[in-house]
Amino acid sequence: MSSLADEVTTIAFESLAVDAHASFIVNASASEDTLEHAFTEHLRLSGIYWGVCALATMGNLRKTMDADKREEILSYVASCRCESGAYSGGAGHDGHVLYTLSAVQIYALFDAMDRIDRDSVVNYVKGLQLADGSFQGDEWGEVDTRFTYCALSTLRLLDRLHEVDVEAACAYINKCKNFDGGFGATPGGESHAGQVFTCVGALAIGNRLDYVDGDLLGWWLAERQVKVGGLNGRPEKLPDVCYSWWVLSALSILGKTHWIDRGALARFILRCQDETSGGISDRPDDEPDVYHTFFGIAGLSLMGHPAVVEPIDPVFALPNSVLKQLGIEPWSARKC
Amino acid sequence: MKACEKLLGLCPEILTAWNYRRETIEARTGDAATTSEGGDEGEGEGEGDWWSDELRVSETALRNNPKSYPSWYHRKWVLRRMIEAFGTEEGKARETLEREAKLCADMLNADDRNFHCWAYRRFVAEKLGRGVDEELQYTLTKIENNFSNYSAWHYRSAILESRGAADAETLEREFELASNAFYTEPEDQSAWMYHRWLTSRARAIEDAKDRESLLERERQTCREVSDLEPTCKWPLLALASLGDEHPREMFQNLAALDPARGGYYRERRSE
Repeated sequence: MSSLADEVTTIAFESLAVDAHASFIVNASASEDTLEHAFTEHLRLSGIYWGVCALATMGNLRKTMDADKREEILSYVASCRCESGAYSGGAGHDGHVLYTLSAVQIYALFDAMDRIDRDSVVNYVKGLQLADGSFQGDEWGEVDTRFTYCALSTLRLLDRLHEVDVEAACAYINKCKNFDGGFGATPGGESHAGQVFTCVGALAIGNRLDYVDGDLLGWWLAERQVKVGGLNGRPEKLPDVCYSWWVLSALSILGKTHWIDRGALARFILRCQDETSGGISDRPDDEPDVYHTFFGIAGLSLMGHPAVVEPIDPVFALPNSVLKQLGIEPWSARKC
Repeated sequence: MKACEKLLGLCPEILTAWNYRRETIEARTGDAATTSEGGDEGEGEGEGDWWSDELRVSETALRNNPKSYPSWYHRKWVLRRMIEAFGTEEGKARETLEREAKLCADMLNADDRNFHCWAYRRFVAEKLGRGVDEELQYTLTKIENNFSNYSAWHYRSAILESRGAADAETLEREFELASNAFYTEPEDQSAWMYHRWLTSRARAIEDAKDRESLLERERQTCREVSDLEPTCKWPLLALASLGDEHPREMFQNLAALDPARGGYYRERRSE
């Protein structure tokens, strides 16, 4: 890990536009009358999580969100609570495990875990586990290893992991392992870096990383880096800033971030930022959005970029300080 | 349901709208999904039922966004209900599955890396009872069309893996397929990744003579590619996996050819 910070700082320290990104995120939530706003209503909770977590990682949360704003967000989250115990992506929508995790993450970021009705969330998540150990995303039966991650992460953040069959959940993920060491959504599904993060993250939570072939998967992940420095999600695809998180978090969990050129990746991410109006886009010169802004900043945090003051945890995608408040040991502390 | 269809036409990602459709259908049809409710308009024989309506709504959504998770899932949900009602042997569900196979083929012709479509296609093929050979043939066609089709290489590995330990003859054939690909496109990583997996399988062959002759043949192939393409890292990497006599030197060369992954090569070298 020694050269990591050096590699990144020498090239990229001065150039992350922290203040511009913070106002970009704050403004993004304010523009309510746009069509885009209407079309993203169904995943608003995830959007809030990306934005708030990016601000927290940059050490800007207190400065940009006063008590009123915090209260406004938390009451919106509460309005997404469903009878089943799940949270929906937006008020009036149906509950799903994806947004249940987002809700819990937002409560954690605002240090408001006491507002969660733990029993009802836990019961909902428990009810999603199927006989083969997998998780469905809601009562309609779609199964995907992403949902396993959401379920295990939610329960661990609530300190109730023992409520589900963790061994069976991890064994199911193992059945989704492929010839390249990566993981798919269901058995036989193609490896994808986003899916790899959820599977490796879930196995880390379940303490079953022995299912991972670290050398093979680490190599496959390292091969995601393309000539321009960015990372792609699958072989022979274009790079995208969001994979700075999906690939790098998995490499961090496996202890192999030095298998790629971190300096080149940091430069790629910084080339995707709009220094004037703020925000980070998928590729240089594209339109920035909150999703890519968060994953770009999170990637820089994993590489120890000094402008990103809060180290982010590669398993839970929350700042280490937030995990410590919850009594969870950050991954970086465990590895040392 | 009409307004809902319109909404999904504009934004197929709204899960709640798909849920609304399913709830409405369940309420109409009751537990047994066998009763065909007449559609809003008769659209020709066998078309005016809820199954076809739902498949149409999902298809429109997928034409707009071929990577929409909920649109693909809705399709699977409809198919499952249909199979529950009619079985897969013959009749309505069978005909629909055949049509779905055709739709998947069309969509994979348009984008041969759409992993959603590959996954759905696997579901359809399984319900149709398609055999291993037929599926291997399909992946072969896709690979021959485009050697860079990693999705097809992946599926091929999954099919072979499901048959258990591969014999020397199968592996020899697969090695040849991979080398056809990398002789054509030496910098494309798809076939090389498949090659690495084949190598790990070849190493597990019990008969020492079979194993060694296969590995040696591949070493020769990779040396040849490396001579033809001296700046290409892939044959060197393959040689390292195949067990070349000078692995340390090999990894040193690799670190020079591919400095981005220098950390990886240095670690392998010191093993």
